[in-house]
Amino acid sequence: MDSEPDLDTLLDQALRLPREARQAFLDAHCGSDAGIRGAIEELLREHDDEDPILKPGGAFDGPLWEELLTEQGELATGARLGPYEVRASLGAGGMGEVYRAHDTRLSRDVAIKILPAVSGGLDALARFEREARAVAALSHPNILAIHDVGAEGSTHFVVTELLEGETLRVRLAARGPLAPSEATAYGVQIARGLAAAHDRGIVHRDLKPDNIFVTRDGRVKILDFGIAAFDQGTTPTGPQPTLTKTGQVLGTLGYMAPEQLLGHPAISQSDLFAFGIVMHEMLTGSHPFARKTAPEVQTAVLREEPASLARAVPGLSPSLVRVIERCLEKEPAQRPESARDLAIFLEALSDTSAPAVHRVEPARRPLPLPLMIMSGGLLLLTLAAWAYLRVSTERTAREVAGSELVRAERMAKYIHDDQRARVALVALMFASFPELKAAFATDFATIRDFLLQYQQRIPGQPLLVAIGPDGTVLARTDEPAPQPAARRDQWLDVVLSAPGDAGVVEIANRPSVAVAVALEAAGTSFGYLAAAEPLDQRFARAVSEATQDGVVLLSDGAVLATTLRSGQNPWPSLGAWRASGGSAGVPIETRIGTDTYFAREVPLATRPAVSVIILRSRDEAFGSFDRVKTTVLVVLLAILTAAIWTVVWGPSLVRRRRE
Amino acid sequence: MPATEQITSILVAYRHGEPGALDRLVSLVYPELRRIARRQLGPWRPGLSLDTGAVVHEVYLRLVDQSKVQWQDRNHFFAIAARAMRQVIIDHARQRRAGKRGGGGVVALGDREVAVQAQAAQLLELNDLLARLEAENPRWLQVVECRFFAGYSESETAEALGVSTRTVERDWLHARVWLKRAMGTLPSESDDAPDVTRRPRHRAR
Repeated sequence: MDSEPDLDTLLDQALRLPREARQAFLDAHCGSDAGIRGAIEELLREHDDEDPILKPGGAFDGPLWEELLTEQGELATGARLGPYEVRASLGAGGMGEVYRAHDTRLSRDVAIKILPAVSGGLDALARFEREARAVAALSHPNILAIHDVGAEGSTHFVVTELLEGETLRVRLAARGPLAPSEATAYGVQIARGLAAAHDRGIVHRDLKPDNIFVTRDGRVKILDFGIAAFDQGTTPTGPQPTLTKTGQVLGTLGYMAPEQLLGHPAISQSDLFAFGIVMHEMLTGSHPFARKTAPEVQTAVLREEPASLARAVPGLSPSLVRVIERCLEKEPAQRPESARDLAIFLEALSDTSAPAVHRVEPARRPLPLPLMIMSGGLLLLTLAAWAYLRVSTERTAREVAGSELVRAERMAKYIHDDQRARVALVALMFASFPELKAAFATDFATIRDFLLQYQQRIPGQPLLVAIGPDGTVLARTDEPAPQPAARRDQWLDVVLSAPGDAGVVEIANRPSVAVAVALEAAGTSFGYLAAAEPLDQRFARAVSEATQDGVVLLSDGAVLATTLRSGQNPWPSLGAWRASGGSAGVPIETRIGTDTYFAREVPLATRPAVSVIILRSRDEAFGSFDRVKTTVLVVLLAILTAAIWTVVWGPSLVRRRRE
Repeated sequence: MPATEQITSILVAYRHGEPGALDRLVSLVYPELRRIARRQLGPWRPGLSLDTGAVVHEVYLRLVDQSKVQWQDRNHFFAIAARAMRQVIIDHARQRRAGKRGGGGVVALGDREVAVQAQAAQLLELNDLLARLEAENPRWLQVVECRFFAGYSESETAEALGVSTRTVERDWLHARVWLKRAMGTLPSESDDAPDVTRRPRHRAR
């Protein structure tokens, strides 16, 4: 007799009932079968037991797991590894255990990292040695220095510099997020370290706060290139086989870039993604993709937007927010181009301060002859300092304004790239609609209606054009009816020649950002969808807000937009700008009304020619310097006065003392 | 053969029912599990709970070539990881009982050591019983591994074993009742009671 299904079914049902109803239920269903009833009641009692014999996760209660997770490593104090004497354990690192040791030959303390013997050891061991060789070839203040590699019996180890300080992880856990200036300063150092490694074709692959060390004197060092691998083809000695293959995913969940999660080999852009996460954590104290379970984190990294930095830290520089957002782009190609660029950008973001002025302290206790000499010296010094200051502030202010314009140029380029990416995204989104593909088989009016319907919902209402596989225009949102004998617009030719690439084209005599995207399904081409957005006031405003400068957007024959007050813009076209001496990459000084400006041209495209002119008011740039100069002037006058006083009154004071 | 290839191919073999695959997998996963659990937790604080789901997920990402496996393999992996966690703690318990760890030769005395020894003894006794439980009903044993040793939730356990959460709930109860009987804290079945185990009955003493 098969009584088991009955037992389980009854048990299921009984468990869903409230306690009071169970007796009645069992009365009804068990009938006279005392055995089944007894068994179910026993199971129900177990269910109600407040202190059951086994609790979920019960193995973790008690000291054994704690021991397992905190036990010291295999080496005891005093063990020797070649010339190194182990002194103390420093904990378990990413790829092995770390100890403080003493180099008996050079008489200095070092850190030793040991590879634990595990199955699959050959693989791990070779990886370990590759790490050492790769990183030892680097020599950079922001990368942990490797001194030696060695083996003692079956124990393989790497000897590195010993650091005093704490990891970024510990710092954040102990004292919360960093001030923006500190975070940016650390970011610069990390980016420099990454840049040095990337230049040699080394990708870190596991950048995270646990692998970033901040020494006592504020120097940042990147540790544990434990799973670094050569980028194939970029090492000077030619391509090297990588031990990590496609499909072997390494790194730490939460810091791995989308492409790493999908099993692709990590590239330098993957490090930039991790860098973005670290910057976010430094500024907010929390992870931009924080979720409750690991698979949710993975999904978030692959498909969701990071937590808003601007909202988490109000008042943060928009340029900083922008660049971190770029680092966290899902597509590697959308991220900043290189760690070096990033370092320069972040450095420019940390404000340069006015040059220090050397204050000369007047002697307080005047002595006769030395007094004379000193006073005289003071006078000379004062005059010299003043002259120097005048010259140097002028030059420095110019330099600062220049570098700020460079920063503004980068900003303008980023915003332009942004617009291109946005237009491409719109096109791709449309291209993914299955209804659109079906609509392509109908007529102009139907397709146009479809496009219009969605166009309304997109801010800016970009122009949309549906194109058949043979290149004929099927419908467009800017024309109400099909044009007879349609001569295809030249700009469509341009974007169709490079599908997927968003660029600047001329549409009805106005420069616009446009892209064409191919529609395909199951290997067949349905045609293309083109999207376009004009380069206009919106772009100029975005750049102006980001840079806090004046912006003029010029094309060959016209002014496209300006954020200056009406009547102030001196150049009606790019031609006029060139005629007045402007050219790309060289800032010029120009007068507009009563103000002087530094102006810099940022070319966005050549055919059609479009450039952004960024204008920084001289008064703004120099304003702070002028104030400094005034303050210094006052101070110097005071010193001068003190010097004169000492000269005049000093000798009589001394005489009085002698009496 | 590099560890990942090895593990991936054995995991696939496990899906095809190859005998011995399970044990080989457990022994390969075990050291990685320990290392990653240590790394993920960082410094231990009392009351810190181990997010085993996250640890196993990371081990899975590290050890398995995902281009070569199917979704069931991931579930199998989680079940295997639970068994590996059982093995980790039981091995440690054995070593502690045998006096091989904890300072090597220096006997640590005091409350803490007493607690360690007590827990170790309990776990070893449980482990022996579990070996018998496996013979009675292997799935009940797996639920114990997932719930007790790995700390998976009901739904994580259901996924790992490929059953419904209700089945997990019932099996968890069955296993506990069985263990109580086996430990003698429940009266053993009388002859006319129906067999609540899935196989011909072995009297548990």
